Amino acid sequence: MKKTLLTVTAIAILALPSACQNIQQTIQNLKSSDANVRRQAIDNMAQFGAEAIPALLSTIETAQAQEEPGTTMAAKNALERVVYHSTRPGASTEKRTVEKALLARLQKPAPESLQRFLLRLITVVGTSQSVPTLEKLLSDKNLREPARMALQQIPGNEATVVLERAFSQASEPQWKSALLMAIGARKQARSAKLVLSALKSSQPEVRMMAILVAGEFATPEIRKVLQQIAQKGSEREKEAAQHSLARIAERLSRSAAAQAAPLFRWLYANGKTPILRSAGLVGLSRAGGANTATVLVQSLSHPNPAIATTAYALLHEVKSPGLAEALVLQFQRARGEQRLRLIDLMGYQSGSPEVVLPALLKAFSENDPAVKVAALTAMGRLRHPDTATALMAGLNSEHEQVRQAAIGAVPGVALALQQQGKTDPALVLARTALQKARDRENVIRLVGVLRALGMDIHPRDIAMQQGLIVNWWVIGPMAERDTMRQRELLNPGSPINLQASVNGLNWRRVEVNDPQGVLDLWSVVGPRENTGAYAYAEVYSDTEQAVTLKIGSDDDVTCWVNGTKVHEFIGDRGLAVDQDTATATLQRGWNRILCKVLNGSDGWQLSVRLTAPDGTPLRLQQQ
Amino acid sequence: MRSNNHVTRRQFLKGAAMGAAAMAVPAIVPSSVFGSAQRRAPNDRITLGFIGLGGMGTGHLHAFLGNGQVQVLAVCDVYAPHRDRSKKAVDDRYGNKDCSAYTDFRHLLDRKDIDAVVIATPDHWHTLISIMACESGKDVYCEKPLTLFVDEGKALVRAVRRYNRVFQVGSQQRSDYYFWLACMLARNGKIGKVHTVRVNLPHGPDLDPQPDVEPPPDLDWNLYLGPAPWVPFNYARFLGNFRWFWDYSGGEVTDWGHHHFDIAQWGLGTDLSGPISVEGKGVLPVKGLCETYVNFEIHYQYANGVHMICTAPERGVRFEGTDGYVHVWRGGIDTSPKELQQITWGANDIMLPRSLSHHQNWLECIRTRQKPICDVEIGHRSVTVAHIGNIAMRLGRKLRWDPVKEQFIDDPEANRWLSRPYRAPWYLR
Repeated sequence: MKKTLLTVTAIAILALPSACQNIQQTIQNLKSSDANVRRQAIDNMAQFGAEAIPALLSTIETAQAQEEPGTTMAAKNALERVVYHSTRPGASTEKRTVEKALLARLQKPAPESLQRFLLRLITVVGTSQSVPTLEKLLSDKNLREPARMALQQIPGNEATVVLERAFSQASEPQWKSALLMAIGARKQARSAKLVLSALKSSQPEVRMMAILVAGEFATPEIRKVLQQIAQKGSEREKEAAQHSLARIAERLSRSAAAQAAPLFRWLYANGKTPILRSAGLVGLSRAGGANTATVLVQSLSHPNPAIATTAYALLHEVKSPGLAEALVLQFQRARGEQRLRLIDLMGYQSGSPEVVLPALLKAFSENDPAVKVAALTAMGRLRHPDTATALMAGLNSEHEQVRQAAIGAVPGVALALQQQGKTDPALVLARTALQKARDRENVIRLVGVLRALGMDIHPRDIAMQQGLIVNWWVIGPMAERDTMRQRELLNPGSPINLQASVNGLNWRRVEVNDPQGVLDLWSVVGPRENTGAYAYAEVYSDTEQAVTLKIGSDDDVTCWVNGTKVHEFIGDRGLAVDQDTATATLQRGWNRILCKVLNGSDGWQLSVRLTAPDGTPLRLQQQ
Repeated sequence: MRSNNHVTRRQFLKGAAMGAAAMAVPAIVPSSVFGSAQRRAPNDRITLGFIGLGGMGTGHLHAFLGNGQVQVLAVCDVYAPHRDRSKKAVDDRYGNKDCSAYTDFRHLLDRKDIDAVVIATPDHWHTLISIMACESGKDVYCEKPLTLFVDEGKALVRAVRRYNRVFQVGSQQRSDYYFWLACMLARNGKIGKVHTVRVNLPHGPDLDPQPDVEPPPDLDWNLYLGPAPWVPFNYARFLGNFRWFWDYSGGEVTDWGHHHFDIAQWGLGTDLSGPISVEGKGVLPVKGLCETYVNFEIHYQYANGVHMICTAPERGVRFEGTDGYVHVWRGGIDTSPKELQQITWGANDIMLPRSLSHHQNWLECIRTRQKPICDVEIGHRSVTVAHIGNIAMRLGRKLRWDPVKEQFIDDPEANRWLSRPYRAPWYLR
């Protein structure tokens, strides 16, 4: 169903007026007790243009005096419609007439609230025509601020000239600051001279505002004075001047990067606070220039952790000539945790592998496991085939964290090997990694890599080899979580009739295609929160035997084997394969495994693995 | 349970792009600075200040007070009852009297020991306080609507980038599974080619006026108004009702609009862009108090031909494609075909980033220095959609929008609406 603009609501807001409808009639309608009539009158008023303005203003005044807020609001809205309608392209004559009508009323005595309302309209639509009237109001204590705001928004030089003149004539520091603010917001190049003089004002309030607005003017003179203030001003002034310099440098970096880089460098060296020095670094990283890479790399060892952290973050993004060399050079001198950061950063230098690879391989040969882990992680990111030998050594390491880092690095490197036509070593690497992988993400990634390398490997086969149940029957969502915690909605002690419906729901067959046998109920049953489902499987045992069930769940889980409850976990958690252990006895023949899995919020999963008591996976036939 | 592996598996299945990005996240902030345990030692916690403690601010405060990774050091509000209530909540939680309470946010920003701030003031203060927070080196969580006018957003994005701050916009639907799923379905062509998006917001109110009175003695009304034009105090303009006045907000079009336009933009893949034209009709309030639209119908056109329609009152976002639809709202989702709700993502599917908690995502990004799920530029672009909708209704004409230059095309009069003057001495830089 497609609505059209003209049928916005039941309220007819667009019905056009008849030709004979005149302004007075429309104004009468603004006073109607019927909201729809009022709204229609507001819309209709736009067509009358400036002619309607005197009557509307009169209506507003009268309604205000008689305390009729509904009529006041309607008349104001109608006046706005007239004014805004006149700003449409091609209606410049109408707009001038409308503006003239507003100004005519503004020049006569009126309640202050009405004058403020008129000034707001002029703020949005005023032109140079309004400037003389606004200039007069700058000397009115009550209206000078809205008049100043209107002048701030009016395009053209005339408003700037008036604001500058008012600034020169004013003496009160608060008012001078306000005028300066408007001048700054207009960003007209001609005002740079005035701002420069204001920077030297003897009035601290004016000087501070000048420092703020000076950030809009990138002239060399203003930069120089700001730098002087940044060195010799009051504490507040120093900081404000440096923020303005940061804005100037940023502006320069968009048009004249060569001028921006020295300014950013100056900020980095002289910034009063860590955030200002960091801003210098940020700008430098974007503006570039000679030695940028060196400055950023050296900043990694800055004694202020905020600056060192900024440098570290920026070095992940920056593409600067000489960066790889600078990292390697710094690595040779660095100590402690900084070495780990440098190794990490080398991993991002895929454009200069010849520079960083020797350093990474050398780092891997060190004895410190933390350095080995960092080097392997960086190699994984670099994805260079020449790291394959180091990765294989990492896979065979006795140190668990080193092994895990190597496993994580294998996918990228294996695919890089394949791209060079070295599929066999890639397969060896990925297979070895898969054998050693325990982390779920790594297992999934490696299966994907092996398949990409052309190996006919299926996630469910891997799961079955690991003793995980992959063939389930599922029913749900059954009821709220609390209800299902308190009672069973089917009898776990009896054989399950998969053809029978329960609470109007039917059992569904689900064949899990996941290398860790994770049954994702969130996908299978639906993204339902605060609910539960049952999952049922049958496995065949050639003999009666004691087994271990390794269970993972998100969230609550209860398990029965052949009708006997063998395990229960109650609580919120994310699934980890094998997170719980239970024991049971399988009978010879088919065995029933029933699990109730309840969900709190978001993820909703189950995994069940069967192993012998010594942990050996049982590859049992599944129904 | 909001389980990480539920997502990471899906992220992996996408393959290289998202998976690699997720795994490449460096632990930038060293453990010596922030620690790594779930429950951190007090000196390893991220220290927070709260600015604006009305309904939303109080909600955030209590949520963060329950988070062992943070320590709340200060609260700030111009209204003493809110300020005092918040200080008491913090002190009760920590069993001391250490929480500082400020009226003026600048004093809170001066605190060198505060790492980050949560800003939940009325909208007209969001941008300026955020920029000043960036200047003082704080990371920021700012409530939506992010800005009051378009140029504020542009200035804010520049400031966040200039100071390299981590900025999370309070569009928490980005961290909700249903909204993520809806955008995934739309982005991955699961409902065919998307041709229409329906964004549904609540009606705005039309309230009876009250007389102006003197402001209560425990309120700093001048500071409440801040950069907004001065007006006499009126209880009916104060607290939650600020949303219905143009000086402080944009009505439901920006208030709920920011939430739902954000989802529309996410689902359309236009996070850092926007529509190319807008036109609309609005129904104004008539009782004499509220100013913003009670009802509205806004039509947007995107460069790829998608037509977006924003109306009241049903809530939510509905993507309509050539093969079906997905309709998402707070707490629910509906799709056609129904099976889409049980979808399994394939290796070639685009995987949108997934956040399980909007607050937690922000805290994690403060440590890793990554961009959060609703970074400042995304928020700026989302609320821009709302702002230009309001402008089109107020001007009563169709406007063409250039999402690259972020201005209306060949319409200087409309472009004047992209900025507003601040009341002195507040200066937008």
